[in-house]
Amino acid sequence: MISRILLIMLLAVSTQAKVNIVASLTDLADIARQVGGKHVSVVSIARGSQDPHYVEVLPSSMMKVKRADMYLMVGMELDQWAEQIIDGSRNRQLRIVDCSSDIERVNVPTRKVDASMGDIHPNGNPHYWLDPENGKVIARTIASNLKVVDPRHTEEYDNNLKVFIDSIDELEAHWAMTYSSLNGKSVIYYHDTWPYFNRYFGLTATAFIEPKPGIMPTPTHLDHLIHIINDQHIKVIAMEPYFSQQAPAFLSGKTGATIVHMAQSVGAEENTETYQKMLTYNLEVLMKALNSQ
Amino acid sequence: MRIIYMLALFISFSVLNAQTTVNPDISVIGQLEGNYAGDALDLNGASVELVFQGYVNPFARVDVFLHKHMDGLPIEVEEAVLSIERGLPFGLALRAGKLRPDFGKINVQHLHTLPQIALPVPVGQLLGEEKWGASGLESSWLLPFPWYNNLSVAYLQNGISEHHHHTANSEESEEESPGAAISARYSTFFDLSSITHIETGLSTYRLLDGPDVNIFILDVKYKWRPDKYRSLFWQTELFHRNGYSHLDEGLLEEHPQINAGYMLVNYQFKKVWNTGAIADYSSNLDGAVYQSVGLFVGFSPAEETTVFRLLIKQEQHGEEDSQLQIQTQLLWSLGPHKAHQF
Repeated sequence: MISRILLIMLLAVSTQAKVNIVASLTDLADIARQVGGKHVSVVSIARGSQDPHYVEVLPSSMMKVKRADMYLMVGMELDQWAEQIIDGSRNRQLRIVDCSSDIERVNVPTRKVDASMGDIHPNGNPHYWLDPENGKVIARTIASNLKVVDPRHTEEYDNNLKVFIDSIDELEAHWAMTYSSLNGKSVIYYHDTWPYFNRYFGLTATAFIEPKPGIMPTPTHLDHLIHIINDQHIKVIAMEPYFSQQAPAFLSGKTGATIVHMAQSVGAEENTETYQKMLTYNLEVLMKALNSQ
Repeated sequence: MRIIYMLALFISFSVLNAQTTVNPDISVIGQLEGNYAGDALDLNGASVELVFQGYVNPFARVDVFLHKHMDGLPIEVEEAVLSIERGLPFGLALRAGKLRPDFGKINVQHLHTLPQIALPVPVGQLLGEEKWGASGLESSWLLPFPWYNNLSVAYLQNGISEHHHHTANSEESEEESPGAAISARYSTFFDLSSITHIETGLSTYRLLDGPDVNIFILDVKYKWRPDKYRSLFWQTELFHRNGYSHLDEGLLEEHPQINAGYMLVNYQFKKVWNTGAIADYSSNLDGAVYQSVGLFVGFSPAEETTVFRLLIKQEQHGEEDSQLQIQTQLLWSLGPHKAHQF
């Protein structure tokens, strides 16, 4: 009798068990949530408003990964801190998924990389999730791995994947109509976070506030940027929420360019709770800033 | 001893069966220290650390730290450890080789990761000038609680060397290399919020071969990091050491008890600037009370690849005149730089 009860309890638990997923970033977490639906439980290590290059290796993060079935890495050396978290979790069964595996990479250095170039990524720019087409690639990668970890819900994962891709397709049609005027516009960015976003939406990064990736702006560099903004009539300076406003405010004061707070990740700003909303938010704030002048 | 031989055999097997074309991460950390105490300026504090790190197979990693002081002494193997972190059941991990055991907080922290220049004096006195490291084994267990609880137990071939610490007014004596020792640390970590965290640990050490020597450490670290431009951390360790030696005819000679500690506070107020204070105390350093207070400032123009530091410290040792020390440090690193664990 007792063994029957235990068996029933075990079956009940196993039928309700969710796939536990930990993602390095909120973007990967949100896509996993949409693809996995009710069969997954997802948390992320970095907050949306946090610089993904520098995330502290916390023991509490290791505990999250200890209980996980799958870890979603950004890869391309952006989230190198994830390796220490994964090792510290002692989780032998963990399936580690590199979401960059099927991405067409941009800005891959063509010569030997060293620290004189700043904090450059030798495998290319890793901010690939900011291109909606890459969002679909990430979703496919997650779905194919979910089907391996939890084959019982293959059909639902396929359906959820289709819903996700359809939602992006619909948005792409909407974006093409609503934000077509962004095409060809030039922006000064704080950091080189946006090459995939720019490539898809036809924007141009004229210059960066950082003279080299990860290097603080110098007075000479800021003076150079003032000339670029004035000469090329740049209207927008875009920055991520985790950077200091000091240099953008200085440039804005000298040139009249508008500062735009962009969301590099889901949850970085208000109204960016999902991957789709985050992309729309960025287009909206850019459009508003460019039309305000 | 048999365990160590078997482990050495296992390590050799793991490494030899892991030959690939993939190179390990190689980095070099260099430093130049200038020290002004009394009326003498000393610029001999140059040293280089060479680091090799990489996986030898899907379950095991090797970390090798070689240290060379520019003082004519040979290269020292600071650590050469094989770590198995995801290959063992029940949340267990194993480290073997020349290692610094998980004993207190600062013993496993590399000095360049701390904001002040020199090791706190009680740490040098009780754990050794280069902190405690020797050949041996360490096993740790991530306890099955919802929050982080870790228990580490280490067996090392040599315990902590007995020696006296450099102060502005004293010279180092000869070291003795004691026999085997065991240590253990229980630590727990809490997220107080998404940006504030606290870790506490309790450690114990016992010399197995030679005089009966026990050391106990209570450590606490608190950190607040609201954004990438600001952070505050506070780290404290309190030490207690006691022991006695066995003399002929069953007599015992009690060692002087030592109570010591340090408190370190560091505030990063800009992306590249930090400042803080450190206070040290020992109830018995070479027979007299020692205490010091220092203020420091650091400048890191390019992340953590180049750092300039300045420390001004006032120290008092027994009845001697108090000494003002000014230390500067230039620190650079070449190659991959891993994130530092909390």
